[in-house]
Amino acid sequence: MHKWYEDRECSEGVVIGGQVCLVRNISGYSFESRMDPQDQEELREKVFEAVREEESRLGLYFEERDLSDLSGCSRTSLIGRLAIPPLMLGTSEKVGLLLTPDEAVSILVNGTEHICIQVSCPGKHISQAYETAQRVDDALNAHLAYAFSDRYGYLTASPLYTGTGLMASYLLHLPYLERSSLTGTYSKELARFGFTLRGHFHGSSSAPGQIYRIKNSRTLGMSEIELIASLERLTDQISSSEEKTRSERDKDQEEIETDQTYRAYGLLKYARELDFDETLEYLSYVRSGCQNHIWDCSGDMDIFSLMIGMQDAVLISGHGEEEEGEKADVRRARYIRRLLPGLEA
Amino acid sequence: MLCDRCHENEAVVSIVEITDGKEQTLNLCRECAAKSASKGITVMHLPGSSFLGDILAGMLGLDAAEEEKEPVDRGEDLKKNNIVCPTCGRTYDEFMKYGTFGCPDCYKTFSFLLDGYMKKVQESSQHAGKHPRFSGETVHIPDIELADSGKGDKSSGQEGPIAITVDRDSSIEELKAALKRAVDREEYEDAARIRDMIRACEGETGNA
Repeated sequence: MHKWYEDRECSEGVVIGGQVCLVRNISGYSFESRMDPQDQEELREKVFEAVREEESRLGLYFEERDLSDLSGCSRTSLIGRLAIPPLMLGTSEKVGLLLTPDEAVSILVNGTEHICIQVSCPGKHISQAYETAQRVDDALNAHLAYAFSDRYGYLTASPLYTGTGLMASYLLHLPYLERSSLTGTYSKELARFGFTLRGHFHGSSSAPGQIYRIKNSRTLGMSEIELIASLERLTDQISSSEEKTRSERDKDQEEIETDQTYRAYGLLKYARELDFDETLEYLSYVRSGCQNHIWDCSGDMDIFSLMIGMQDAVLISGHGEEEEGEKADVRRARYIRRLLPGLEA
Repeated sequence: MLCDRCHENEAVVSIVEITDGKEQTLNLCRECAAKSASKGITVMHLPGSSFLGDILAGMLGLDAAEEEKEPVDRGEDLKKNNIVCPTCGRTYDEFMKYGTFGCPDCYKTFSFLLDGYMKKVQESSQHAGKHPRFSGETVHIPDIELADSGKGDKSSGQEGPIAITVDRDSSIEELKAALKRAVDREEYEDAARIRDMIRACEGETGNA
């Protein structure tokens, strides 16, 4: 099944894709840290039932995903594939997850909050993602009353989500801003507007693969529409700045980068061991190769999906790549070799 | 990584301090962060550390530590520390420690500190967005009014000013309970105000 992050739009342009989360709690229950397992199970059943009844009206069909594995590998894999926001996953055994086959819409139950609805979209279409999230939100609300106050909005265990309960973000590829040391400056500027800009992957550098996420840090005091509009506006500014920095390279710089891009491709295509950080670095060059018209991006150069797929947990659980006693770096190299499209030199 | 100040505890917070117009980034443990008296402070959560709420609660504690404690304030503090949410049992101390609420009613229980807290965490304390499409308000948080006591010289003043925790939109049961509390405390002005609210409520529903 084609996943949302395998869409072509994720490999074109600065904006890879967007995600919208809505955090909700059901009235009549304490928050997660004060719930006993029977209540959690009861709540999960109620939410699942509500979803089942609304599926055909929503036009969205969910599969239940088992998160009970003790090694945590399937959980890490789902987080790596962007199906669950990492901060929302708690420690409850009664956690439940409903996921559409393309993994674009997920409903997490009994995480750190009762319900977290997440909708992902390729490219710069966060308004559409928000519309879908709203429909799911309203559909659940038709069966379950949310804990809500006129004064503080949707009530959540963590005051970081109180109010709209909305977290909206875009994933961005910013190699040129990073190389010009401008990402730190933007980060500080964005903080004034209530947004953060942070590296998405966790590795030895602050932003492996130059993949960043811009996200709102405040959820109370503004409407959802304002929040989304601010995100779009700020993302446009960063995106333009990235494009401008790229276009201002001189010819020498261009030649050096072309060479680096081809070297990166060569290593990816032929190395027998690839570690996490270097793989992302090379994939970042190859993705830039498309923007710089070094090679043709028609169809095959699905770089972002490789960035997702090459993570340790995702490799093991998603792609059947596991072999007994094999090193992760060897497995990763084999995965990349298999999927990286050929080039006419 | 270890704290830049004490070199003993694990650093959980990255702080940008501005001293004499110069910026300095320090990685501090929670205790040293709480002691840091800088006003121009930007706090960032270090990756790998936990309890962001802990740090936020610590930030609120920051300001409290800077104020001089009057005897009346200490009375208020004791009151705060004894506050427990009747629905889920979360105490004020637990809230300050974990930075999270135990249940929706905690927003009512701790409403006296919420406006200030929300303004620190979210820079606003009033929801301006969507309301649930199919359900309404499930927890009503009244506006806190400090009764104009003018009773600083009374012996019962050691309890501090008494807040009215109900307003026009509270339920009849809440209003009647508040009326009883006000009468027990001999706060007859507050009692009269609450009685008028009850009358207005009953007048609307046509009850005698």
